[in-house]
Amino acid sequence: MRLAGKVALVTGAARERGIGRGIVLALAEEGCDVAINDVAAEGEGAELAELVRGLGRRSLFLPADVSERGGVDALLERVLADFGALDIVCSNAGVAAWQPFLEVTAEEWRRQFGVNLTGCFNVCQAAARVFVAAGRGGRIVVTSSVHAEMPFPEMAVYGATKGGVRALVESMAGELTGHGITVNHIGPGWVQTHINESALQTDEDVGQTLALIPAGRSGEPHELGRAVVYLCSTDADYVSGAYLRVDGGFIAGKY
Amino acid sequence: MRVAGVGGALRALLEERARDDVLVVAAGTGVPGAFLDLQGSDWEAGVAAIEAAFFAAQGFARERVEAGSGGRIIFLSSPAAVLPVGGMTLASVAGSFLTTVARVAAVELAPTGITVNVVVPGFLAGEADERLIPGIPSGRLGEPEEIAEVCSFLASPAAAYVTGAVLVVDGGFSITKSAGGSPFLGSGLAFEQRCSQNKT
Repeated sequence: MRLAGKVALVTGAARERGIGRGIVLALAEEGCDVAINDVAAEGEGAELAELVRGLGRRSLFLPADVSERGGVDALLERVLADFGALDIVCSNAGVAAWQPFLEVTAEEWRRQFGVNLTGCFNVCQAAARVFVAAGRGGRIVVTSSVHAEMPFPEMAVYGATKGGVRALVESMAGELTGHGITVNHIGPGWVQTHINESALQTDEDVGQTLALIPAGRSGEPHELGRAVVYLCSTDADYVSGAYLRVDGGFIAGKY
Repeated sequence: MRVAGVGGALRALLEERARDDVLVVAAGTGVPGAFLDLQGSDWEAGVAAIEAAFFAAQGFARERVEAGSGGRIIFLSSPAAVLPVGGMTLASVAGSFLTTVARVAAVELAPTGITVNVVVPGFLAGEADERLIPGIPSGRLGEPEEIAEVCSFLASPAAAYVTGAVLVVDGGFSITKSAGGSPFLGSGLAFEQRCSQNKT
């Protein structure tokens, strides 16, 4: 097992059809104890923690809103108290909305910025401070998106938060790698999770989307989890500030 | 030109170029400092500036769509958004965020005759630390006039087919790592030592 004895925190991880769940299970399969965070979905979070414990790992569901710094600081303290250590933090919590640029509302702007960027900043800075204080290095992996490098219509705010995440990851990497902390982000393409529910409502929607993907299918949350495992493993000791696109060739082709 | 969130000598130069159908908008560079040391209030101030820039652009775009005669939106970014610069996390985040906004808006607004582009001003005389100069291939800081001229080009009929573009005007700073570090992380001595190491 590549992550035996490690302790990880994954945010935005409770939902049954979510990348966060895929990351939690992939980490647990490699020997990691996992603290599962989400802002809601307590039943799903508790069920996921039970699944992880069934794999022989320690796990707890710890609710908190990542856009609120006080809650994030308390979350990190709780993880340290309950698990005794922290080695890996996956800032995965994210929300999305489809709105034309001219129609974006202040409310929707703040919701997406608050979770996707401020939440990422809160979680990563709090984690980095814990890692630096412990002096044992660490791993930070952020779930960004193909939007970090290619923009899409009607997703100005979501895409821009992911562009901002790219900047934050590279900034963090420049400063933290010297402390033995690598910081990277993964770029999911189309993954059939709840975040896409409003966009893909008919078989025709789904068919049209899949036709744009060279791999001919959407990604699975577990595949994103395996990418995170790689970045958290010793195989990736020299990888920092990097972006790993996991999109079935979506951005590279085909037109 | 109409201007939002832009300060210094550049603001005056842009305002001199009277065009009601052009908006130049920026979110500032944020409070400098190490990522680990950034305070919540620093982050919030940076976010407020980004939000103000976004909605200034949106409001202007709505006016121009209403007017039905096209327009130009120019976002000003930062070299820290092209290549991370130590101690400039907020500038990096703001520039990257607005660059993506610009590119999406460019696609959505193209049918209305509004172009949306990004200009990345480098480090300018009168504002930036001269200790950055060894890291700039052109060997000097930029002049605000040089940025204003690029904005004028983007506002002109000659640039009608330019949209979603990012024009970097920084004397080559963000192409590659060369000498120097960041004056915002203190220890100018370390910065100067690295400069002299690179010269030998």
